[in-house]
Amino acid sequence: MYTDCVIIGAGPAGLKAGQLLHSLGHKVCILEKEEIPGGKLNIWYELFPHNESADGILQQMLADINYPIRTSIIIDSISRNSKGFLLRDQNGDEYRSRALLIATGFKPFDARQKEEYGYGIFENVITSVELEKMFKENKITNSKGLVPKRIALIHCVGSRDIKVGSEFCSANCCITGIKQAIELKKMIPDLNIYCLYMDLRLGGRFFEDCYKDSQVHHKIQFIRGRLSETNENADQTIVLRYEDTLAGRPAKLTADMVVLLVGMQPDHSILKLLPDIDERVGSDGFFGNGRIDQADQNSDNDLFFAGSCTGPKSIIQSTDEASEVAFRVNKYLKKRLHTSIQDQYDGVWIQHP
Amino acid sequence: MKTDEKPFIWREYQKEISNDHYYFVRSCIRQNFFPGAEQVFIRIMTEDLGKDIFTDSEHTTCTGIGYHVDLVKLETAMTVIARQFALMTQAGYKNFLVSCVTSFGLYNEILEIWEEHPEIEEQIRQYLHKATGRVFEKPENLVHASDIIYKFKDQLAGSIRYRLVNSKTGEPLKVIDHIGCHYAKIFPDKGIGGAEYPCVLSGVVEAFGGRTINYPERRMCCGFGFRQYFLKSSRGYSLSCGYKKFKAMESYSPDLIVTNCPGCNYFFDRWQYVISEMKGETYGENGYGIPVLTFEELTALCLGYDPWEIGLQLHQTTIEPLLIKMGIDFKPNEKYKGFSGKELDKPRIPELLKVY
Repeated sequence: MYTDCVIIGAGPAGLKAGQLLHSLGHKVCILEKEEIPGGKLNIWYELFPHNESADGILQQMLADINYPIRTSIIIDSISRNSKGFLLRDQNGDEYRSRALLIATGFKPFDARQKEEYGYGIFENVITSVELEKMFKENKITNSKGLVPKRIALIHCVGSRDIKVGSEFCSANCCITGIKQAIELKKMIPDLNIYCLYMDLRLGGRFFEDCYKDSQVHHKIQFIRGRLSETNENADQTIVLRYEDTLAGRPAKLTADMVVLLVGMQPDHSILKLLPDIDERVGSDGFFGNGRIDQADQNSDNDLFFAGSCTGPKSIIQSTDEASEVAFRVNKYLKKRLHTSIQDQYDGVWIQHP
Repeated sequence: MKTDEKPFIWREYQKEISNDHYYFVRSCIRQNFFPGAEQVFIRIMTEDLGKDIFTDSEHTTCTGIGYHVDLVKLETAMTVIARQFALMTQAGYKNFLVSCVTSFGLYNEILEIWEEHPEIEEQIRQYLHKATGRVFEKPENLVHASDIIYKFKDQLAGSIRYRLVNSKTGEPLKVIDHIGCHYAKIFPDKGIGGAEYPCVLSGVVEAFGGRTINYPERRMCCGFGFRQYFLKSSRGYSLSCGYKKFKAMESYSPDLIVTNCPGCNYFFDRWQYVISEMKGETYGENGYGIPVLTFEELTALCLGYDPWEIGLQLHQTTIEPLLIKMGIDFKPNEKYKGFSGKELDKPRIPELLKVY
């Protein structure tokens, strides 16, 4: 297949960039490793801060698509020459393009690394991703199939934590926790919810409103304290030990269920296929360097990145970045329009490594 | 508790344990509290496992307790430990085997300091040479005695006479494993299974047929905590820690507590009597306490060693309920006989905590 731009990843950023590039007259193809497009939108139930249906947003994005999205594609190799890219998938199919846009998103932090929190060890310690699945199934139950009465949400799991090698802030977990706490309270009005946080980073628009709403209308309790460890009681309820840093003392809390608000981690699965990419990975492991003054330096390059593969982002931030990157791809492609796509693929292909 | 994820969690905590030829350093307090434990460890190493283990009458305290209560300066502790290494070097050994968890933590701490600050190591070498004329090599492998039993647990399990099962019901015995804080909480990668769920004892318990209990206070300190116990004013903290542990494990009806630290073993054993007097509470079946054993004593019992020969009569919490459960053939009348066969004095019987 010959295209102007291959986009890897059919999440919000990939879909948005694809839609814009297509509307600008370019031949676009999106390759997606999962069976269905949508990326993390398929995981979320509702989106912060307005509680829009994630599925509704996805359907809205897919409604405009009239270019190919190939799903269940595992890319085996990426080669490039001075004129563009050649990608091969697991079936041996080839995709040639002048430009390549990486929109592979992030992966949730593997909470098993925070062994002291008991994920993977205790039945009733789950992650925020698993809680979203419960929301989608409209069924919040603990390991014994009972509706919980007390739930603790733990902020910053795998974020700002030097111990697990993630020193950066994932930026979205605080508001995700608040959103999930409100959703829980709406589903189970009698539920007692405790949010254990280091500090709340609610920089996004309307996030502060959500926070206030969670306290005033939903009576969510916020405890400033870092969880030190969890233990399991004989009835599979969870004992949390933490330091209440406002009260200045250690404390214990028993909960029927613990939700770990897992951070966003760079997804390096595509990294090994990309030639000479190491220099374009930041110290946090995400692509790019996040500098404004260098954002346009790659305008002569044929490799672009958008969405949360360049750092933790909300969906709206991802699609905003995708729009901006789509225009940079457009600028690059316009420079190349004097050569036909077919002629462009002469030359020697260099495969990495 | 799920166990299927443990191999993933523990994948980074696989520790190198040398196979043979160990220079053994003993524990100060253990030789007084439960002297049979170290002695039977040496017997297991030599007679059951056929290993070369060198015990040296020249070595001294590591100064760990003095260091942790701020009585001994770090430089002094380092120089004393440098001397222990010099003795190992002189004896021609490279594998350093430590009996005490406090010492194990301190040896690791000092090796880590030297790794980070070679100039301090150089200074300590000079101090040692000036004071004693000795030079030393650092150990190639530094392990705790419980690491060795863990390493050879499957081999030992093949030759044990008594399994950790109730001989009447065939059910696995319920075992509380308690790991000394300084075993892995300071340096998680120095302990088998890391700091959160070390498997150095649970692995042995399960290999011998028992079942370990996961209970809410599993990882909490036994209460010894040097400054807690040795400073009389804060001794209440020590006791209340122990009390919390017993209250947390009580509902699981454990048959046995096993530890790998001299202090933990002592306090679990003695506090049961103190708590019975203060609170009128006992935690074993029928008014007895929960028997407390070190990992060597447990291994020796399973291998068929005579309980009185390995010094189990020195435990204040009576261990007979465990012997009966395991179906161990023992002679009650010989409990307080010395090696010569002479009857030794018997301890006074407490009012509340029942003993045999």
